[in-house]
Amino acid sequence: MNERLIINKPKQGEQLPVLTTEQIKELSAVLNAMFILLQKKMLVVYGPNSKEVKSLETLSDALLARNFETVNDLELQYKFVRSLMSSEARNGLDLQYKLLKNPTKSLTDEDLALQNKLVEVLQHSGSEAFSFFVKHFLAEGKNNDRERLGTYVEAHKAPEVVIPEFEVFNVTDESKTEAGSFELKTDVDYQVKSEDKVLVEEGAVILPTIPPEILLKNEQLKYENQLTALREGLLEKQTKLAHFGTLKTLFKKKEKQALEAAIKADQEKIEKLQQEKLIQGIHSFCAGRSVALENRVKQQQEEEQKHFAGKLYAFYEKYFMKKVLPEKMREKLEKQGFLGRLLANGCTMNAALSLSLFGGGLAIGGASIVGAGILSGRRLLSGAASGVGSYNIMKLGSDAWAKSHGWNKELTDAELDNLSADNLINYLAHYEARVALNGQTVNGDAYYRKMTKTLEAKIGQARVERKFDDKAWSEYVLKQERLLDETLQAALAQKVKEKFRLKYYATAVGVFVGSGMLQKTLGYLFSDKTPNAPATHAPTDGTLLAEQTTNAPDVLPTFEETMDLSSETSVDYSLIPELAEQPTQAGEILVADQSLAPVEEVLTPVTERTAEMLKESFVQNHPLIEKVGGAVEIVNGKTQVVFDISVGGDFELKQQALRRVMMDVFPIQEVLDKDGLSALDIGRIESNVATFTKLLEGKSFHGFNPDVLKDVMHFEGKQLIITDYEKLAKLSEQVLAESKNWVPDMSSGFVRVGQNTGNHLWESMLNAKMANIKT
Amino acid sequence: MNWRELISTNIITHLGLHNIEEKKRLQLLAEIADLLQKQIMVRLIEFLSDEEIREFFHLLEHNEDKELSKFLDEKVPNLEEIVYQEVGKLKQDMAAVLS
Repeated sequence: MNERLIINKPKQGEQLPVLTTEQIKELSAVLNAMFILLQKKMLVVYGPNSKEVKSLETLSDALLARNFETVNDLELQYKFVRSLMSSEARNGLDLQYKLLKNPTKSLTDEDLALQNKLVEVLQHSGSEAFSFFVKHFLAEGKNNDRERLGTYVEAHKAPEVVIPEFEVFNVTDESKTEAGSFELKTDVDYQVKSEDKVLVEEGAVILPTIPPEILLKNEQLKYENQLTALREGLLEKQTKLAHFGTLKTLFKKKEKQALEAAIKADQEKIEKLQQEKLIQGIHSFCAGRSVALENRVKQQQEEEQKHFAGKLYAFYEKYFMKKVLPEKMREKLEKQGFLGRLLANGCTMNAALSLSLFGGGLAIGGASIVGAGILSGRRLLSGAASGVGSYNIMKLGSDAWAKSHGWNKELTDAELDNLSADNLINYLAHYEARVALNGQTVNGDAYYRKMTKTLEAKIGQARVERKFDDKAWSEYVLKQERLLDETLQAALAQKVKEKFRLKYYATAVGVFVGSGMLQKTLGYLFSDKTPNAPATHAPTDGTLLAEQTTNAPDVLPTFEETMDLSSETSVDYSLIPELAEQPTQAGEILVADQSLAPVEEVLTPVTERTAEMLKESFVQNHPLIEKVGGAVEIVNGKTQVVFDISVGGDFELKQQALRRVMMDVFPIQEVLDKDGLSALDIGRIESNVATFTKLLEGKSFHGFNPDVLKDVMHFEGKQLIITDYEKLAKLSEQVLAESKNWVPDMSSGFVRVGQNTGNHLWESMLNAKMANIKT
Repeated sequence: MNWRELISTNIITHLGLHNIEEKKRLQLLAEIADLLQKQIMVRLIEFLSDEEIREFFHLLEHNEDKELSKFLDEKVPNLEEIVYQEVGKLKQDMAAVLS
């Protein structure tokens, strides 16, 4: 500030102004502020332990200054101000004080000299705060005499001069907001001057409520004032501590310890208050902005006749929960580490925006933090993506998530090695989210780098294993075919009837049903009856033996095909003609030909093996079922699942078992579609649970008759027994198709039921369901 | 801080949230993310005509996600830009008021 006060020195015999109580208080406050500033500056320049600081006599006096404003006694105030001044200026102030106490006293030469000294001190103080004081103390004082005391010269008009153009607006004064004139357009319209005062531009239009951004600024100012007081207190204590030399420490050890404790307490208070200020600030900012946005929407509706604007705005959350991320954004997301890559597989707008708040995702199109080579494993990543569940980054990166997965500590090399590639990818995504939540980055993070290297090695290994698996699987299949062939040859040798032989063959071949091999194998066996049978492999002499000689490896399915869930759930036993055309006849033959023990003895081991393989295949492709306690068995080529409803088979437990089954048979395509496992999907699953619950109780429901459960599922004692899981899956598809009528949109009660069930349960079931699914 | 830097900055460091207890921090982030969604939705409302808003609402209400995606691609080709602007603006405004 370039203000300067020119004071004409008073002449002998002239009457001098007398300081009022207020003026003395004001003077002391300014001097106090000056000393605090000076002290801070000295601490910065010399450091808290420097000898220069210690040698300053007035330092301790200055520290007392903070308490001055709370002292009401005039004499104490006077003494205090006096203690802060040089001896000459102090005498000048003494004179002023005398004049205050005895206004009739006339000035002597000595008095005049002292007065001049005081004026000199005031003139040359130079600080902004002091100039402010001088202006008010001398130019605006009660006994002001401009001509005698000097002329106030302004080089630049200070902001305070603008005050008359504004109206002071008290934010706590509601009546003022109603009657006054105010509008929050830009920051130019108002200035926050204190905790509860705002300067408002004259003529502005008033709003019905106090603008939230003004309240926010006032709140922040309130916190800032408290913080300033705390910081000053801290500074005092730190300065006192700086005075503790070796000797003083020796004699006043307890005092020093108390001071150190007080400093620590002050620091903690400051830290806490800063956080409170920030938290309160964010709450107020968000609340205030939301009000302003609502007003903007209302205004749009009124001014531009956008009738649906309000309705659409009310639906904003629904939009951001949709997986409708534009392709351009998805592409950018894909490049942002594992987290971005996983999100890109099925990301809601909400999740993408959350990532953008951390400076990633949509916002950056730059280079990835991990090698593109690792991220290019689309199949691996898409499989792992399901483990992220709701793709909620904040949840994914939270401490709770880390604890639930045992990831709340740095994993050892061995632990990392033991993680599957999928789990490691999920862990990497979690780690990225966690680091982001802590305001850091994985760039240059050694642990993260180590994990990506481990993953790279795992992916490389997985590729090799996958090739090996293909080969091993092919060999295994061929071996089984040879075994069958030998068995059948033995059966032929014993002159078993062809139909009977085929029946057993068909049962045995059931091993391939779950593996996707069925159709190919049937092609070999019944090429004349199945449309997919390869022409080149037509039987040459009408015997099975001839068909078994086909060179199978060229037409073996790929690894992906063998793991395809849909091939399993779409198994159709009618493809085996004998079973489809004459089921009862085959059964009769079995009974009738019990005497053919040698054949059974030969075939039984093969059947057991096939049943074991079927079971293995089922469990692998339905991890959810076994995980939730379903006991799987293969009975007569059909998959049977038994749930033990141990606590009396009450309604809740039946439903729990059914919920898991319905989740398991829920079509994978619905999960992998754009909206993933949406609330609507869950509502439809709940509708299915209700339908099957009612049907199990023997009641018709949602257009289905309880008879449909015959040979599919029933309750027996304390057990829920699914006798034919494949059939149940098909039935569930029909019920699910029907459920679209009962659960048309989010307003359905079943959606609410699903939401009541709890996201964690659905996520857990989804994760289990997806654990072994490769897309 | 230029615009790109602003968008790329992590809001945790930008506002100094890292010292706040995690549970509280997550709540604040959820609040901020919610506000961001509202800001973007208002921009969309201002950008679209009454007829288009009506269609947007219909698609949303009836869960016609594919159509919704197509609709936004066609009607709001600058959606990405709007998102950038709002993310940057939010970070800038919050820092200005809270710093």
